[in-house]
Amino acid sequence: MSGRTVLVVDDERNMLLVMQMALEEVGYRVLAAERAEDAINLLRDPDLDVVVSDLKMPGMSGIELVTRSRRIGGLSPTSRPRRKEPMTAACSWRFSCSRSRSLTARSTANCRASGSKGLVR
Amino acid sequence: MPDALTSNRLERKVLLVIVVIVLVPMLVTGTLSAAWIAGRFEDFIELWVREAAQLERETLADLHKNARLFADVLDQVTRGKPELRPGHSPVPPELEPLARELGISLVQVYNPADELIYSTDNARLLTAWAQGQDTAVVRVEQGGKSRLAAITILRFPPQAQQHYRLVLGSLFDKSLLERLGRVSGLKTRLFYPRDGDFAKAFADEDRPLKLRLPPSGYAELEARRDYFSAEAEGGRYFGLYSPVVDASGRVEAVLFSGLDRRSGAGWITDQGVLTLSIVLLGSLLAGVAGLLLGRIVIRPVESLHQAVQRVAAQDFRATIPVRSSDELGELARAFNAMATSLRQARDEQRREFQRDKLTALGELSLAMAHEIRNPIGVITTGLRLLETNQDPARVAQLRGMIREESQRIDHLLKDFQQLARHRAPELVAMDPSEPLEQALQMLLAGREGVRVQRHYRHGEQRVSGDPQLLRQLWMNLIRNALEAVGSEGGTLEVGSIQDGDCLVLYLQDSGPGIALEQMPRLFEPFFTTKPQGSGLGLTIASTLAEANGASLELVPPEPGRAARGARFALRMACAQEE
Repeated sequence: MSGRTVLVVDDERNMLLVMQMALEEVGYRVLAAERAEDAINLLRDPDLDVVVSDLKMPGMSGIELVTRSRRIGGLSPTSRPRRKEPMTAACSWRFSCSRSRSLTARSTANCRASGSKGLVR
Repeated sequence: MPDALTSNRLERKVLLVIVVIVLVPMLVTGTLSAAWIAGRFEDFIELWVREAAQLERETLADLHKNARLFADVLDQVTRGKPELRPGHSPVPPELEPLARELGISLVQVYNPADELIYSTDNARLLTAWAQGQDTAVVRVEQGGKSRLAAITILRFPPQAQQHYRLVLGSLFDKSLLERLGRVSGLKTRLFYPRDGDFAKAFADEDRPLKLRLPPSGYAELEARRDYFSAEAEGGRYFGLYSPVVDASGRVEAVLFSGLDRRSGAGWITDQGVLTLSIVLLGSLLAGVAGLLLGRIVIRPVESLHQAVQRVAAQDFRATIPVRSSDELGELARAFNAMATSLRQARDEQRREFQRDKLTALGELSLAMAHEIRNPIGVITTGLRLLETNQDPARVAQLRGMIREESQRIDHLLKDFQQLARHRAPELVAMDPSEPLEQALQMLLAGREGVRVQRHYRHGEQRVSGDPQLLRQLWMNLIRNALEAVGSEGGTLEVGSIQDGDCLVLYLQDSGPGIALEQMPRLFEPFFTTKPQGSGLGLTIASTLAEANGASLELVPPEPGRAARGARFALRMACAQEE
């Protein structure tokens, strides 16, 4: 496996694209999804390390996605056990980021709502 | 208190009621008692006049009596044969003092041929006495002056066919009548026989005043009875005409005694005046009673009225002075307490409003910041990627994205500006349901769960408005309605009602409705009940309504009605018919 794998979920296409470009430029492998429902399938990727998701999206919300991801992580259908549970970072750009504290602090990267800057680093 | 009659409606009513309550019975009793009083007084006055006239008649009769007495003395002194010669006085010198004492101032002698052979002071009779009369009232001319005399006629010798006549009389003038009047307190007039009628004594001789009586009056006098009239001498007097009858039964004069109606007690027998006086007095009492009642009852009511008006005009400092401990006083106290609690509630509401406004402003700013920060994040990251990327396709893609995001910010700010300052409306005559229908069509796309019921009743009627601004207005309202009915769907009801000159369009949703305490503030800017709302939607809608000459209002739910949802009504002025 070369580099780490990041799943980016955002309903805004431009945001999704720049995040993907920025992450790829610094060497990440990026999985992109415009809807949380599409992201569910990508969660099964065994190399997935980090999930970065928008909170407020039409249909399934970011919080729900994170909850699901944790469940999938715990009950992995793959025969090979995961190296580790993917780190999830849920972030809403339109909304106060502090709301993501409602997720469990252990597995949630509490991002600052300052665009993708913090993630690129 | 003229202003009490014009300005105070309540006081005027009370006055009116009292006047009516008092005036009507007063008119009845006034009329009845006036008739009674007038009748009694007329009887009383008639009695008085009759007695006074009797006194006067006796005074007049005394003149004749004196003449008769003097005739007796003369008869005895001359032993029945007075000296009756032409140019010679029949009164012996020794009797002259007695004649003066008895008031005999006229002595005349007529021969059997009825020629005047002697007269005192060359007096001449201007009116004749009738055949067989022995006392009379006649007119006498003496030295160019006309006077009256009460005369007694004596015959010498008494039983002879041919006889001399001795006339003894008392000359009198107006002063005698005035003296009589002073004695009785009445106006006294004397009418003496002249030209077959009676003429007023001491009147202008050229235009003698005749005795004017109704036929019944003459009949009474002919029958030698007194005639009383409450409207004698042209209505001026309560008067009694009494005949002065001589020994032969002839009416020698008519004596009139009258009480002037206009002086003294005259008015008291005038029913009209009497009724008017009683009614006026009663009305005055009623008026005073009304004003007193007004002071006691109406003034507190008036101050309550003023205070209520002040409170209605949002002046909660209004208080009513508590003047009494009765119901009105309690009302005043209750009102003051109410005004105080209203003032406190208003102050509290103002503080809360300020707080809410600041909170809303903060939340709006946050929402705005996030809306703008998202595209800025894309732009910033895109620009950094451009610095390192050389791939022409990637560069073009990044540039396109940056352009798109810049435009997004631009649109956002334009929209935001429009909330505060929309373009000037272009009013056209249009179907009022058209903008509403367009808005429904745009917002209901993909919302299969929402049913729309339409109840348009305006027919072909057109109203004046700006279709685009109105569509924007309806979109704001429909968005709210859709949020209210929720994702499961529900029913929207739209329709129109004609209300007088206005056309009312309404939108009703099947959502939970709007809480009562939120209603007054619903249209305030930044007021929102939704965590993600800007609080501007209804404000914009209301502003747009005003720009179209319409008004937007929340129709409170009818009590007991099953449908709880919010109902907004747009009241539009109709287009002028061309």
